[in-house]
Amino acid sequence: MSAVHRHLLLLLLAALIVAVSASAAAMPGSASAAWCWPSCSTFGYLGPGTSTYNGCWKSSGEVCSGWNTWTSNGINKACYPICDIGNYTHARVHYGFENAERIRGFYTDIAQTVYAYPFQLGMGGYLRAQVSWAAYDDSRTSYTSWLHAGAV
Amino acid sequence: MTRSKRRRSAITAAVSTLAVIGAAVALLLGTNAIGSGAGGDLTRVSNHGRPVNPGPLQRKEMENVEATSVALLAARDNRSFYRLSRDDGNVCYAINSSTEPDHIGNTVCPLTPTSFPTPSTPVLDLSVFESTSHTPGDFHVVAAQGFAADGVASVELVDGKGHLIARRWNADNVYALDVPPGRVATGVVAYDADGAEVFRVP
Repeated sequence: MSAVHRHLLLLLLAALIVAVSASAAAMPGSASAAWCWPSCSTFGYLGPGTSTYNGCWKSSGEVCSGWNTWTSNGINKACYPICDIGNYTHARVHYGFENAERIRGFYTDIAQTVYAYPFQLGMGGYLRAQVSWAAYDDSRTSYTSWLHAGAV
Repeated sequence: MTRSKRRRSAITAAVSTLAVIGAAVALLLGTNAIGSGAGGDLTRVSNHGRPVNPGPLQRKEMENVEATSVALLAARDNRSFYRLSRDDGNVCYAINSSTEPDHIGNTVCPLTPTSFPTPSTPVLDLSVFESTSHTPGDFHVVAAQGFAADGVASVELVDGKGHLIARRWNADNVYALDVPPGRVATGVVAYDADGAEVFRVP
């Protein structure tokens, strides 16, 4: 192999590494996730009857990962069933982490991408990443969310 | 025209130009000041912070949301409040409430730059809620924190009956409130300068 060919091969390899890195960065919480819901490339409906049937804090209306020492939990909540002004979706969720003693996290009913870190929530050790349907306690109708979740 | 007259004319023109520029800058600053004062609007966050050179872990957390730059809005109540910018023009907000400075912290990225703030969403709340029971809806506040539009005057922690537990005035478009020992807070409520409720969680 000539020096020119070796140089071209190195350039191609470098370009491939850059391309792979860029595509991984464009899909945070998905391609590199250790837990994804409903899968690592799809969105799913999260409503009062949704469950992953793996012993989450709530038996219904929640999806959760298995037990692990999670670093972060990322949620992509889409404009569903509607996006009003400010991308208010009329569909609220509570997302974060849980262990045997508590479930802890944030509420949102806005279409947005979020990242939660367990140590920022005062939690550590073996946890489950979770997203749960959170009904409004006032007169508003609580709709189902359309979202993707992934934890690493 | 003599040389001295020409020089005086040139100086007068330069001074006039500076005066016009100064007046324009003052007008712009004045507009912002009005927006951030009492009764200011619910669609603006005037504080854009000061640029920060992120540490290695902060860079990693920025990559999660494809942010390319970060600005510190405020550091108070044992928290750092950040505004992240992305190349697509979107903005994210984050709070590091850990004791380690090399973190961006829990991050929210509204779908579009116009998603926050709006009159219906003048607060981007990142308050921590937890439940230790399995009773539906039985959640309480661990800590209140978030970002607020100029027109938000105060944020309060309230108990289950809606009674005030603690209040914090909006400063630099951020707020943080820890629940006092022995108290149980169940909600976070934001008010404008007239005392009208503008946002509530949950």
